[in-house]
Amino acid sequence: MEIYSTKNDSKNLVITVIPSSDAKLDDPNEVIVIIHQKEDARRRKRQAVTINAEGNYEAEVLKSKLVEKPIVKIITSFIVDANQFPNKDIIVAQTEIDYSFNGGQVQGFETKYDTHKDEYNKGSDADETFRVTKRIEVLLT
Amino acid sequence: MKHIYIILGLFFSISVFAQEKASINDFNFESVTNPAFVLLDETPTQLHTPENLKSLSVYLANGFSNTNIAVEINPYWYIDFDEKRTYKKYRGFKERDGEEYIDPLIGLKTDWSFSLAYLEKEFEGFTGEKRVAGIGARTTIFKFYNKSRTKEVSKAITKTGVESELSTEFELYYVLETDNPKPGSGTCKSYAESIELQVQFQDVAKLFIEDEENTSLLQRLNIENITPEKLVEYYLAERCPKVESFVNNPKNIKPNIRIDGAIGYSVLFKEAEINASTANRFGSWLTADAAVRFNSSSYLHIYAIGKFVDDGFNIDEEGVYFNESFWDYGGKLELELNKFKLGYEYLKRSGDGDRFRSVGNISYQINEDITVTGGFGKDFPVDNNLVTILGINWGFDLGEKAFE
Repeated sequence: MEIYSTKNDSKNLVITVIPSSDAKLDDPNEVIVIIHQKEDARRRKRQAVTINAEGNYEAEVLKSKLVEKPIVKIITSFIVDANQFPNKDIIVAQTEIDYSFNGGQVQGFETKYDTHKDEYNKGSDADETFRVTKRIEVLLT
Repeated sequence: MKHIYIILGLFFSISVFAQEKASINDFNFESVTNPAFVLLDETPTQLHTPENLKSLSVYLANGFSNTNIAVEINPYWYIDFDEKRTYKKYRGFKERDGEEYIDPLIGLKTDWSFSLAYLEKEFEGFTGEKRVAGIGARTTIFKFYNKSRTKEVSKAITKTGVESELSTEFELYYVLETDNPKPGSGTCKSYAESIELQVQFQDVAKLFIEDEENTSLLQRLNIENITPEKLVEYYLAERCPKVESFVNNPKNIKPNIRIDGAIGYSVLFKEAEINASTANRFGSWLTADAAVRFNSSSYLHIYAIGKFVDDGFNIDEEGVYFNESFWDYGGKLELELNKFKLGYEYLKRSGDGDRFRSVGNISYQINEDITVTGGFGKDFPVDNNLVTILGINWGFDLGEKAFE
């Protein structure tokens, strides 16, 4: 799992999610951000996600909450239309997501098919839907 | 009752025979999707669409060694445009003076496709199978959506998911509890028969109902006693029509005018070797479709087509190859009422002898696999032929083999 290190101060951690795909983002809750415990993923807390001025998705997390729940999980859901469906596999492979973590210092992460294949769930061959799941551990220093 | 079966049996036998003798229902006025296969008179049961160029090269290497290639490549999917992709950009949405419009030339960017075929096939007049290869390209040159249809497309692709609080919260819970994507139309169709899917969704529904965090929601909605089965049914009843509506939006909201172009070239190896001399067949198509809409599923299509074919896949009695070339041009009126289509087409063929095709046809799609079609008219008659056909076209997934 990738790690983001940040000072344990009073600033919030701002997470920006920038999806790039020919598929449609499958609303509602097309981008979900949660934080959860390291040992138990079901002990989780959902974070509010808004769309910022640039049209990207943004969530703000209190660093104090990250002490108990240091894993950030970001799920992005997609759906293709009937014309795209025969090329669903290629559209999945072309889908990329950039993530920016800003808790005082900015660090970028990404999901690309060539290098992060395990983060993609293509879904069933009969379904038009697929999803990308990113997990990043926040290390408070 | 027995007599009815006998009559039906005879009727369908005659229909199949008639379909082999005349091609009254197979003139394609809509876009030519795979010109390489059209030129080889082939319809592959499965087209390979490579995930990347490496996968394509492996497929081609295998295909050339066993004479079985049926591949389609859309370059748009492989090009890194160095910009953020979105579904709206893919559909060609742009803004002018604060108003949305769909770029009528977006098809030149997104709809290019190249098809490649290589197989062994026995053509009429030839003895034995010949190796043939074909290459083709097609694109949508122009598609115009007027203001009202642009607004409809925009509406159909914005806020496409569930809206009720219960479905929204359950869907969120499902996505968090499982690693699965949200359900698509495959799940919607299979759920009622699939025990596996029922268990998968209802297990999550049980957790959702038992989760203390959802107690207040269920109380507020006055459904504390809802069963997992009912909860999933409620969710899918809302989700599935919305999936269907979004997925089929390109088919349900057609452009006012659409022009497609295609070109193809194929070679027939006269001997059973790749380095043997070849006969060639060339074809090009231009099709236009003006769609007048009456309601969400009823259209009047006015089609026009221009087609040129130079066909060298001919052999005379003395074994000498020769070329025939012709132009087809004409039009078709087709009334599309949901699953029912009624049409009339007229085509003039000029070139090696002037002929025409004048055909009325009718079809009804019973389900995704079966369409009943019928036709009546004259199909490029050499003599004064009159062809009547009523039959069934059907399609099933027949497995992995590219060509039958």
